Amino acid sequence: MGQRFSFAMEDIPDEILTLIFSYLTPKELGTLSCACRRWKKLALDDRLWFKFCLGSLPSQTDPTEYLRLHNIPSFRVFYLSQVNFWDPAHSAFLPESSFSSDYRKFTARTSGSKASAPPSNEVLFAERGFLEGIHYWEVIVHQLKATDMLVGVTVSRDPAHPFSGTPPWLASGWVSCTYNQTGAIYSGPGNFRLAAQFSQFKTGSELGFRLDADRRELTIFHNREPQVVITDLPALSPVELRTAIPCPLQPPDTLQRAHEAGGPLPTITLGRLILSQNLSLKTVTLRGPQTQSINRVDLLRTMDPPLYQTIDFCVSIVTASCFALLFLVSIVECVRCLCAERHSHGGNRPWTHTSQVGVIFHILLPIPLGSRALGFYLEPSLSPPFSEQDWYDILLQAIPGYFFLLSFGLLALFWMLLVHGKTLFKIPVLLKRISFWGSAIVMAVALALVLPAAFLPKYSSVEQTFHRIEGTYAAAIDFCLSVCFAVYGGALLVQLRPKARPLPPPPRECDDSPDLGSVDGVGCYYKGLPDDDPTSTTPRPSPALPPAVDLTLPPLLVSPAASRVRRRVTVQALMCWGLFSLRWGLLVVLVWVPASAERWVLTMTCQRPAVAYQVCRGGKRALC
Amino acid sequence: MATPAAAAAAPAPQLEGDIKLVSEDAHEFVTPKNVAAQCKMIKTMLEVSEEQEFINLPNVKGKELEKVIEYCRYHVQADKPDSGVSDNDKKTWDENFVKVDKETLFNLIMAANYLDVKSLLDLTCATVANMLKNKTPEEIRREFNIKNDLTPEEEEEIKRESAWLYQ
Repeated sequence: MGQRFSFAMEDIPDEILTLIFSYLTPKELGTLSCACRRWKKLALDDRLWFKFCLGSLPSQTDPTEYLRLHNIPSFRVFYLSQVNFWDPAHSAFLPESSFSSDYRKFTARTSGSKASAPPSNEVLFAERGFLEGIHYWEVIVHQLKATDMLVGVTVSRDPAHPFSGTPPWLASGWVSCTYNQTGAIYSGPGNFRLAAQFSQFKTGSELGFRLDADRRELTIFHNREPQVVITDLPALSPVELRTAIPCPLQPPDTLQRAHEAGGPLPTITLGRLILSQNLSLKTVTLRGPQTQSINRVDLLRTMDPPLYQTIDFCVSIVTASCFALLFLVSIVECVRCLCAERHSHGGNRPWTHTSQVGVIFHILLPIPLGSRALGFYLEPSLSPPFSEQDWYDILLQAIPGYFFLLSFGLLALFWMLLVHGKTLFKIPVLLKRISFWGSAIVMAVALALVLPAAFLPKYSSVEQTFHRIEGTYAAAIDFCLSVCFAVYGGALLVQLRPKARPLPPPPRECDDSPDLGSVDGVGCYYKGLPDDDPTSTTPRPSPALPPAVDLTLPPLLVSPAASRVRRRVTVQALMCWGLFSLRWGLLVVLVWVPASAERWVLTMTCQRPAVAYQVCRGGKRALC
Repeated sequence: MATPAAAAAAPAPQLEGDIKLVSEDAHEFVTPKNVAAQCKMIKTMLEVSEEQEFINLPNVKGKELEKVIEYCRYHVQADKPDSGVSDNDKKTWDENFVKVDKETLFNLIMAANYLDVKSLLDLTCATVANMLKNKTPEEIRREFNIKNDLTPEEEEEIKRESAWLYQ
């Protein structure tokens, strides 16, 4: 009986062990995970690691959501990444996708260079630098021995330049530690000069670097207190400013071999260095006037949620097809218009067909665009109550869809009036004018709504600027197009309803009138302009045609009025093309290309996160 | 039917007199009901049927049950507002209370878990956690009689992942 409760770990249920483990620190959990398989499983339980992450997670975001957005598989990975991500020993273990924008900023890689680096390379540089934007990072010193460390920013990463001489890497701000807990800040370029000193530089100090790459300013903080602003950073654009910390860039085994071969053993090795110095590095958002949060989460959210992505993709395809169709229609009409003289006796069918296609297109177009707007509401992350960012999204993207729907409504109104408003024939002309100006007002209002959103102090990075530009201009262009389409469609409808036209022939001569009527029948929205004289379109000699036929293509005669109208129509068609091309060109150039490039870069750079910062015991000595 | 409302209202006056607790190995402990009610599990049973004379605890052995009752008795006394026992005293008592061999400690954990004495469970778990601190995996295995079932490759992988442990 006594045997049953004899001391055997197998008898302890998982929950009890988890409870026991919950009293331990990450380091101890790490040790336990080496004990046996079961303990490993329990010690790596994410519930235990969650609490270690609390301090590092952004407080306003749901932690699980945060992990999902950043593709971090677990809180444990997140915790380790916060503490250790610069350590090459963990580079293989950290998933590439755990790299947030913060990571990207500091990602450096010893990449290949680890093995191939020349032994004289004593400075470890970040692989990527900052060309623009404001960046802030901190280095926290957990252990500090005098003259041990040297942290700074540089413009070059030429490994051929060691510490001696006039190294070009020394062209920027550096923090070093002197004796008596005094920190020294040096700056360049050229002459290495002491820019500032501060006291109480000791274990636990937080060194902050705020790099404004646009202004070429580096502010160095000590324990969040600004110490000095270095403004003489070299303006060697486009040379990137890089973070760098001098250290011997040699893998430990190389050093060990050198030692065994009788060579001098360097004071520190790479691996040991990190661990013994135990630097930790993190990014923070500065408070106060320095604040410049780089909110990549927002960017990701507008780009990544799969549902929105899918909807957007389908809508884009449909919209693109519609645009392509309209494009073809425009080409055909424009060509026909340009060749009108030569086709003076051409059949009326092509005109009718293209016009019908145009009408169908205009009726269909708002559907995908409206569904695109709907997609925003289907997207789970965009649900009330809306945050500022949500409103931003809606303003920029969803509202254009609604304006398309609005234009669809205008079209329907047109149709209704044309079908049922024979007796009120004058109304369409009036309506055209009203709709034109109404659309213009709507457009102005919409732009007034959208443009301020574009200047929200949200974004600072390049991609985000692209995003902003596209958001603004795509919306603006969408408005233009929607208005154009609405009026254009209305004009087409009028053209397709010859019965609705006043039948009495105008007092004008027959020569001009058919020309005008047919050319205008090309269906350009411009017809709806208020300055368009409706009487000029009304005459239509169609003796040979049954009254039910929509349009005829009467002989085009070369007359000043005819060529004027033709020119106008051509210009209008070209305007249509121009708008399409502009919109899609902007989309492609400003959004799709940067977005894919960015993802590509992310994929490429994140595959091997590696050492970003090191400390050099001999740094000070070498400087002297 | 004697729903939570009734149960919640009832206990205070009900917990008078003694109850007999019978351990797995048939040891019997007569304890005041208010002491036994420190164990939430027993408290629940008392609330469900007030007329019980004894409670069988098939998962707890006499040795541990005795310890648990000792713990409960002390804390009932010490937690009284007029007891004059300082927090420090309680802490010292707790520390001495868990100075037992590992087997007893783990059995206490199990008993505390079964009887649902949260403070005792916390105390014992923290004690075990303290034992795990500052030891190498090898020492932990030896001390807690754990068989290493990790393959060398797995072990290597963990070590690589946890390189930051080995300063």
